[in-house]
Amino acid sequence: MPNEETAVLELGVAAARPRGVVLLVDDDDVVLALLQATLARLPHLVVVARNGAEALAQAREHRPDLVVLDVTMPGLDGVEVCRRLRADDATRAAKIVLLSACAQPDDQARGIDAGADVYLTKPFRPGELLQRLTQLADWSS
Amino acid sequence: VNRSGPFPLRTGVPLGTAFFIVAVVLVALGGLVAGLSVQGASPEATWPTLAFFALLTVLAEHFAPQIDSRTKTSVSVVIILGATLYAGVLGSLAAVLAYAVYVKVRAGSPPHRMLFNFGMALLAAQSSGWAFGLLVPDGPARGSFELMLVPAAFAGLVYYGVNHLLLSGVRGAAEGRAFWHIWAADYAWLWPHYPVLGVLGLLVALTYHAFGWSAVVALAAPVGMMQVAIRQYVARTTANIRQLESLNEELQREIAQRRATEEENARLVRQAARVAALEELSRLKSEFISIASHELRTPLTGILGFSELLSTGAITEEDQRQRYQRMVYEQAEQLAALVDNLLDVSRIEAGRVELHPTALDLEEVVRSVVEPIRATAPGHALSWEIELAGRRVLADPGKMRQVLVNLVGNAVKYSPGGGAVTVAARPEPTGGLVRISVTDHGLGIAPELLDRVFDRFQRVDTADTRGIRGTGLGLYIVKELVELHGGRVEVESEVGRGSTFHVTLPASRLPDAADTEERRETIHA
Repeated sequence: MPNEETAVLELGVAAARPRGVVLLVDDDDVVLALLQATLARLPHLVVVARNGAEALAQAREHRPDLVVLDVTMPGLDGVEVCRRLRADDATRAAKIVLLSACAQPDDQARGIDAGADVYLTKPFRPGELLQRLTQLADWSS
Repeated sequence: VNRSGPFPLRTGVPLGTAFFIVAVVLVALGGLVAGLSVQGASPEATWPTLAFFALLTVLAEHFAPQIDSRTKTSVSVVIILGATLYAGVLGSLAAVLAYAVYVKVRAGSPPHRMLFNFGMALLAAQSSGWAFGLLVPDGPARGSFELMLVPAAFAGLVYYGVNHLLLSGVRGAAEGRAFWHIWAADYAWLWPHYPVLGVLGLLVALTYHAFGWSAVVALAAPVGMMQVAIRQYVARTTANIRQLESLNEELQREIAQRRATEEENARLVRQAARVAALEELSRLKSEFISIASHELRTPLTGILGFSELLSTGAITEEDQRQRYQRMVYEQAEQLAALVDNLLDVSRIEAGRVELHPTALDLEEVVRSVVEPIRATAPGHALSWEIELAGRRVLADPGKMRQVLVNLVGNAVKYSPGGGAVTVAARPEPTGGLVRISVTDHGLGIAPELLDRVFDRFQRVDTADTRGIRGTGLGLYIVKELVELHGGRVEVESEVGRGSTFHVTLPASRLPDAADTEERRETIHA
């Protein structure tokens, strides 16, 4: 595994101009703040949402390249949001990362079935998350 | 016409019974010898006559219908009486001997029983002959029939008396019961038959005297027909009874079977209920584990994530750094609270919670609980209203705080839209109790979940509440702690309108002012 610190720095250097939109969705303020802090150095436009409905509205509006979705949320849960993003032509292309505090294999399968590209469990390490996002979005190129 | 059958002696005769039998036989034989030596043999006791009566006795006994195991119609008594009246003691002897031997052969009864039957019948026949002779000294052949009717009936009664007295006696000896009980139970009802048997015996004697054996046989024909009819009737009745009995048995069996089936069913239902309860518990436990793991992972995410960001130097701005450090601390605190809750539950379940109740000033406790929560919930209007008129609550201060923290915390948590949260405390009108109510205007609880909200691991899991953190332990802890205090918890709620949780606790007596001051100091100290 590469050194996370390096990954952060590389990204920070490489990202000289805005490269797209990232949508962060979590109902927990602390986790949302952590996600924002993790991605703070990226030159992307970061959009946040606190529940599923809000996430769908934001996605429709901002056409994100990348969506980080919490699974357990009031109303529409992350898996359902993921399914709907995939069903909508406008948002189908986004890379989707599901972030869940449920570590059961069933949950993971559910998430992948719904069309998620990556399924990560909480607690996650910011460096690792950033690296996965980088690979996924192919930002380093 | 009825008479009791052979008494029920088992083989292996007890000594008392054996003596009784020997005595009866000896007395009967003694009577026979005495009668013969005093009066001499009756001139009518010729060999053909004796043989005829003996044969007739056997025939009568042979065709006598058996009514039940103990009772038999007995025309043979008529013949024995007829022989006695006609041919004196030798007539008795011939008929009785034939009777006893026939019964022995027919029923295969043991010898002592034959002996007893012989002695008993002989004694009874002799006694009745003697009684008849007292009233009709010249013998039946020379009296007029009207004058002999009553003596004959009397002779029948004497036969009855002696016969059943001896029968009751020997049965009493064998069964260890008083003979009059046996008499009263089994034989008393028979007495009216015997005067008739006596008169019939007289009729047989007179007919034989007047017309010879053929007339007696002619007389026997209708009696025989009647006997056959009775036998038929008894056989059918017995068959009917048997059928009824077997039906009854079948029914009993069926009832028993059905009862067994019902019991089995009930057992299965109980078992199923147990299994269902266990499954529910196991479901709740695994749900709890997944909830607890979620609840543990969420603060851990914040703690680990921000710690990493802070330690790698990725956060350079000082105010950001401070904000993230505070978040780490808060998340750690939340985690500590969760661990506390888990420990509380395990303590409660192990029965290891110790209470140190004192007379609490509720207002102080409420204030100390509400103020810090108010600071973290700016969207809510928290207020309290304590109207206890000096009354205090008997409770453990730490536990009471915990109860209120959980209830007020829930009220805030489950009213995500904000709104008023009130804590009220009032004495119950019934006295001796104080009721504390925590009201919110939040999501509310569906009626079908209301009676389960105080259960372990039970959370109100709906789309509205899914994002609200909780382990399903808070209300369980509240309920257990309140009940440890001898109080009770209740909840009223309406979906979309909010909930009110009531805690009722025992109050200490209304103290006077000085007392209040004193206690306040004690608590402050």
